[in-house]
Amino acid sequence: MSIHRLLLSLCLLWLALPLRAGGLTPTEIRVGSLQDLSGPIAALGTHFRNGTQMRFDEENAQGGVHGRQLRLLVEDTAYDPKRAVLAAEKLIGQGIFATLHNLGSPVVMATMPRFLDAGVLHLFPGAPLKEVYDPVHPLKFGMSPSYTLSVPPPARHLIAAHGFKRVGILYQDDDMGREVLAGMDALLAELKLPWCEKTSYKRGATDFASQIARLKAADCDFVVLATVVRETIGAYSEARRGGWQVPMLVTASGYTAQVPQLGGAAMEGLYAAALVPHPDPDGANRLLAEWIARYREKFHVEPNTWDVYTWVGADLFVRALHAAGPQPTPQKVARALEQLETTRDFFGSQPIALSASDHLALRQVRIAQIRQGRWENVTDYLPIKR
Amino acid sequence: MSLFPQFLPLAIAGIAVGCVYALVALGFTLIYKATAVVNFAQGELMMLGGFVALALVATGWPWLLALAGAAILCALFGLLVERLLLRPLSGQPHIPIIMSTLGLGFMLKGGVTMLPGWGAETHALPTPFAGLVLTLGATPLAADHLVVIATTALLGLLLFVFFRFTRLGKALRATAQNPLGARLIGVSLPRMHGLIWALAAALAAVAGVLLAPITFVHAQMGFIGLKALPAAVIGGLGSIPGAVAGGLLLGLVESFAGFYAPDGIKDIAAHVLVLAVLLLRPAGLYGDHAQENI
Amino acid sequence: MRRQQALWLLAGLTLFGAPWLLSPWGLSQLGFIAIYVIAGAGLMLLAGFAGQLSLCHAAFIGIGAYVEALLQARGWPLEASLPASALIAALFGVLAAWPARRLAGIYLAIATLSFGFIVQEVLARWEALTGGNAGMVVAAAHSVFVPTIDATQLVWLALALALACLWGLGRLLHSSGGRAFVALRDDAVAAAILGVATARVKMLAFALAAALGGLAGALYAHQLRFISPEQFDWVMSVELLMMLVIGGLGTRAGIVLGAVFLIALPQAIGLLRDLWPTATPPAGFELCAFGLILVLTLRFAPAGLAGWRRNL
Repeated sequence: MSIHRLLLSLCLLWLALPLRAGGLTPTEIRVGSLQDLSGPIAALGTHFRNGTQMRFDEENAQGGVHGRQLRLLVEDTAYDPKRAVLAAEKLIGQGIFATLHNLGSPVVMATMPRFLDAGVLHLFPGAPLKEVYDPVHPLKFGMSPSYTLSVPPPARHLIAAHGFKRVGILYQDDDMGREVLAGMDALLAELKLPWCEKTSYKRGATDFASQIARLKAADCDFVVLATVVRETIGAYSEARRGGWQVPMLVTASGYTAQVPQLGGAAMEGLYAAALVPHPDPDGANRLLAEWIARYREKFHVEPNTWDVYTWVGADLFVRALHAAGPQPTPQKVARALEQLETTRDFFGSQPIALSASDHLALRQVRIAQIRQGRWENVTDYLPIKR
Repeated sequence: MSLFPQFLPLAIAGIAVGCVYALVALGFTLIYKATAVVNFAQGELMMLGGFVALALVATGWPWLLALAGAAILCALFGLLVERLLLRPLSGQPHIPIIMSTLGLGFMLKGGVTMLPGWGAETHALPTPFAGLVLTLGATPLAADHLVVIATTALLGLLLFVFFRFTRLGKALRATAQNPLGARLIGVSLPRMHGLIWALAAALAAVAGVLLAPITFVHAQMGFIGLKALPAAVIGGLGSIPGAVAGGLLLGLVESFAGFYAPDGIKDIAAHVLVLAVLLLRPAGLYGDHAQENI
Repeated sequence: MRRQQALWLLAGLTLFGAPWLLSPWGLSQLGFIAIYVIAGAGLMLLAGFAGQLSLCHAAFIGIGAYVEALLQARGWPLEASLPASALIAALFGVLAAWPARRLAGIYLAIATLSFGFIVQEVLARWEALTGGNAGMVVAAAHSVFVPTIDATQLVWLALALALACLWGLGRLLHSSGGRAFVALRDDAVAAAILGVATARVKMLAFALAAALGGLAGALYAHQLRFISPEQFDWVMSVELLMMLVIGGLGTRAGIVLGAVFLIALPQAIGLLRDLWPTATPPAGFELCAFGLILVLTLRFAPAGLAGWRRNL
């Protein structure tokens, strides 16, 4: 048989591969998750997967939910929407009950309609987009509010507390940065303040000397950083190195332990918007210390904010599964989620209350600041205006 | 607003970033000059150098020794790559070889990401001068930037001496300019190719270690390789002073565009520069104007 | 010859029947393969046959995608929007050909790379038109005959167009125009001496390649249903070139084999990853495996999969 025909036949056989099992079997509840495990945000992807896996494994060790084991099917999208769509079709074909913590705005935007059309619960994606929770859809639940909503409250608080008048921004030139810019545009309009200076950078940039120089030359007295981990460190330390001591607020994307750890003493004084607490071993209560120890033993790395985010999200799902009874359907679980209310837990998370008219879990944000090399909470939770 | 306070730090930052581009571009150029292959894995070799240095420092080596160690180990790796990946393909058209280097890049990036506990995270490389700030009058200058510039200048000088005055260097130059002629006078081509790859990998490793205080060590570090390729091309792929000139020019243009040009132009500046240079001088600033074959 | 024609017919029938038989996952893969074949045909024309190494193909695909999305939103049927996407992309191809007049080889490649970045930036900056970096949701396709085109019909259409492109490519190459392309690749100087208008031929090659890229982009927009500027980046351009090299640069079979390699292989690696012994396979495994397979394939089949039989 010629090579061509062999390859063609293999190809056709491959494409015809049927995969059907169903999201709910007598022994299993299958949950899908689209992560980035080898692309630009692989660092987030691994933690997103870890937090979810940990909660599921804990539940399985206790016998599962109504006798069914929770099975997490993780697909690597490498942050590529094309692969995400293929992964979504694969998961839907394999049969999943829900999809949890899908990571990345382009991934979510490309795959969410497919999951919803297939009747799969779309829960708590790692994509702070309005479309994820608004308008309310029976199967759609969001965890993080969009940046447009979550940045103004801490910024407003700091501006009011310190009397800032010349606000500048350094934003990542992508959908995240745009949202932050939109939120700050609205806030400044409300406060009747003009922009002092706006600067941006492309994802992957390493040098911020010129952007900081511009903000400094414009004489800003407060800067919002719509940046992720490395860029936060790069920009803030560039400013401090040049002797510029202006207060800066980084969005929730920069609120991780890595920022003070990698950035060192130069990061002192940085403010951050915090939606989910960061698991600090120093001064941890007993339950948190035990959780951190279990995490370390399981994954051999230090946990961070994203693990808490996904552990809490998985926990909400598990609770709703229990409440939905021994024959759950996505609709029953959705109704159960709407009735869930949580209080402050051992992480220090904000209380969560979903409802039939509001499918957004996190509706409060607080301000943290780096003091002596650690994140410390500066305010209590501030409400987000919807 | 007076321009001078910004000019010097911006220029230094631009030159420092430009030096990193130049080091990676040098590697591209060396390999291209000798084998007509564009090494798509050059950025990943830089990333590998950063991680090797990280590992050495973690076992207690001081920074300077870790720098040298990373360069040497990566050089050995470069030899290995040439022997296992490229030599079996010699004689083939260039495009499959170039795509092989792309595959090598994926393997390095994926492989490093797979390292348990280390690969997916970002790490700070403990550097003796990190965060140190010197002042020239009223202008603060980052020690990181100055070390990058000084090291690159030193390496440039060493390479110049090597290629101009040592026998091995002259043999390498002969291989690059006229492979057939070089063979006729007894130069072993496979050995020269291996050495070129070793040298390019070592330069990339040094670039990675120098970049670490600025960008930290992580598996996506190789992204800079994408910037260094236009830098090498601007300078004229195949010209060593061109690679350095291209890298520095790119770094400076980006730095100044970021400050003086409207917001967002900084990121496009590099590409506009590439098009402008190539349209005016189709073989780059210092390049050879003979027809290129690929 | 008759046997070969019969085989082609059989293959064609199987392919056309396939969309109705495959799982949604297989269907999606087939759809992307067809789309990449169309884009690849364009790049093959430019890089494989005319010898113009181009690394901005993703830009043409992106333009086609956005034009299609914008026209669909205004109610244009596919019969009008697909040609429009191809045409506008072709105009950008002419633009990209302008630096090509003086450049060759790696210099041309880098110039096109920069062109691609600039186009991507324009798509991101022109927010009023494209929605910028937030991306754009793409409305469902409709045609004059069919009010809403579903996934299966879209894949069927993509397959039909892909086969048409491959057939058209073959006809073109055997015409005098096609021979001019090949002359350009093999020896541009000799071609010029022999009276081939090299500048015009280059422009034509770029325009045709871009048109096919635009067509592929339009279909891509509907396949994905969400487009954003960051998707049409240099990585996609390099992937397309890689696909052609793996398949076999200079052969039509190579386009198909390469597309299958590019789309189906990562999915196959994903299944392999599911067999990993521990619960959490390491991140980066799929990328590393893909790189290894790429390297090994080129090592043992440097002329591509299509040329493998000849090497054996």
